[in-house]
Amino acid sequence: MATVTDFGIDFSHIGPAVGARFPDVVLPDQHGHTLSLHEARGSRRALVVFHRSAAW
Amino acid sequence: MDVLQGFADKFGIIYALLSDEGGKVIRELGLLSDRVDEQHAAYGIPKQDRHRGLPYPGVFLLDAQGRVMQKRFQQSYRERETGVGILAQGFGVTSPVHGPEAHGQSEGVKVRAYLDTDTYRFFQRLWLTVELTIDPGVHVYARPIPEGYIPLSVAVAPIAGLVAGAPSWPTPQPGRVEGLNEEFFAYEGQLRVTLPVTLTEEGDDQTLAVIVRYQACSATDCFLPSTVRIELPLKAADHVERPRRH
Repeated sequence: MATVTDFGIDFSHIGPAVGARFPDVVLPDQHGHTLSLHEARGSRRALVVFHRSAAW
Repeated sequence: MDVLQGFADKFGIIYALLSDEGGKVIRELGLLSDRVDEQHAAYGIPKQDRHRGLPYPGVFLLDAQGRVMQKRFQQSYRERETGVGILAQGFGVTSPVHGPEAHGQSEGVKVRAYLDTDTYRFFQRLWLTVELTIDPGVHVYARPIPEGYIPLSVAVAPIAGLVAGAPSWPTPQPGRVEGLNEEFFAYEGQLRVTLPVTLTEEGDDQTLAVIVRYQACSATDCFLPSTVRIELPLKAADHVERPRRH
């Protein structure tokens, strides 16, 4: 994949691996309700996005 | 929560935005970025305490069983993909609508180019698609190619801050010139070439000039080499916040 600024980071060993079950994540959402990733997903596919901040 | 609620309202977000206060989950998953200071330095941004505890920016695509199908991570916190780009590239779900589209043609070949989104944001990766529709009985040369032939090429004319990635080419068909001992590869029918484009300078609406070059031939004749230039207007999205410059 083309990179705009290459900091030389190899992501293959960072975070959960391809093929592994993604660990469940239980955190509060924007409405203040506690949400479990896998419960909310049910049997659907999902995109889990890691973003720097909603404030910055 | 107020920050997330405000962010969701501002952008009309209806999916769940989760707050990982203190970066606990990010640490547990091994996604805490230790490169923020280095990236700040590269971009000329001063260090700030509130910029600690950031994750590496990226996306996990999970299948119906919750397994990781694909990881799509960016080298720096400034870079990001569009939602439609992730869905198309990752899940193969193409949006029925796309951004600006324009057309060109030469004898035997029609060319259509479009972007996946109407607007761009600073450092966001957009996808450009160039589609060729070649008349029956006509082919366009691909690589690898014998000396003296012109293969299909796609380029975006340089503008300040534009970074265009390498195009993804469909697999061409092998062929042989009758009577000559030359092997070549060619495209027939319809094909699509995609490439990522990013604008790294904030600012105004832009026009991307897409330059498509090829030589089309039938079994008996070749047309003159063609250069088709297609212009795609691209609006600057409203920025949440202007990046700090020094």
